[in-house]
Amino acid sequence: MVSPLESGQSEDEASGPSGDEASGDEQRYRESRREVAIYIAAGISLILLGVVLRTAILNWIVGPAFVVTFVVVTNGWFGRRKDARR
Amino acid sequence: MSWAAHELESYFIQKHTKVSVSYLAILIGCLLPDMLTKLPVYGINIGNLSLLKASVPYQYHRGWPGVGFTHTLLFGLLVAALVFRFTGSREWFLGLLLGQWAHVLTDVFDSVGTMVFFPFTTQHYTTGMWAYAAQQGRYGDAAAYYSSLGGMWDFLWLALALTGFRVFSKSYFFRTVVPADPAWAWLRRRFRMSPTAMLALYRAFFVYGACRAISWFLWARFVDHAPLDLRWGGPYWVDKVVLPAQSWQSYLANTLVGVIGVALTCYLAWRFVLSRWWREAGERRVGVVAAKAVDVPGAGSNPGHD
Repeated sequence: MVSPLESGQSEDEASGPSGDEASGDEQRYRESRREVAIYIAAGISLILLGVVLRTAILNWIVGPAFVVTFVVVTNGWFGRRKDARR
Repeated sequence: MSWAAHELESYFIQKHTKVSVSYLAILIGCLLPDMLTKLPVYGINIGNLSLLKASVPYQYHRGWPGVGFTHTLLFGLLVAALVFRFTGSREWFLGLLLGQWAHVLTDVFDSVGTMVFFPFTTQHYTTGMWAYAAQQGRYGDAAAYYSSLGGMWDFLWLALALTGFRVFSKSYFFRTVVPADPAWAWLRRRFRMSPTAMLALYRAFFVYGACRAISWFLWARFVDHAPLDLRWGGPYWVDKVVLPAQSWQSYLANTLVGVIGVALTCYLAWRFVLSRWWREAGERRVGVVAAKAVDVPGAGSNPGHD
């Protein structure tokens, strides 16, 4: 069982009503696919910006900070879109 | 010098370390020697003005006199021991030690190498696999590195990190990485980090390392148009630094003195200082677990964890 901390959900979200196991698996699969897509998008953006901006972005502070910001912001945007659809 | 290899090797070490170790400490250990030395190697360039630049970059970066001692095994032991003294964390001690030692050994592969057994000998150890070209400036060095076996070295570390892809999973992070290091809980509290942000921070140096290698490789090929030369010691077109050759006799004598000196220092440090701190850290941990068990009636302690 994945804890709320692991799944990235809030406690409220995690303790809310859940569907059957099959739809739960499907949802987890979809979420993990989305997560991989976000990281790939962050990577491609960083590569392209890196070729152009070079050391302005390819350094130990800005590079990792870019990845974290990209993932958190995009993840939040997807979360809000999901909430709006409900 | 190695570029992205230092970020990527931290995940490889994390995967293959069988004892509890702090990932953050491994990462800091891997970056530490260059964190303390890299800026004056290239200098700060504003137009035609170059500030803080070392007059002989390789001597400053890897040599003695210079700050080459940051790229030695005993410097890693010293830093890890100091951090151990102040934090009492076995995980940070081991992480810093492994990370810094990995950096020292990885840098052996360029044409300048490192003074592995300093201060017992200032002998440099190098395989000469690619050219050390920091004197060419940041972009000249990048072009040379990513046109030689150095770039391939980064891609090898990327492949090695990917073979342990399990370390990037959410469950591995929350079940193995976070419990081994209280720094994650501190980061979460101090910066109000969400689980998504914590996980992204953990993975960020992998994504950054991989993208850094790919970006610079593409830049060297399509923007700088540097010729690719994958021969040993390349690229042919850069004015690389090579240290004067020594006789085999003096090389072996220096190595013997160095190996014995470093091994003896490590043994004495462990025998008279570190083993005591290690024991005390274990006792403190058992004390904390016992106190928690008293505070929370019914909660079981797990001394076996220690």
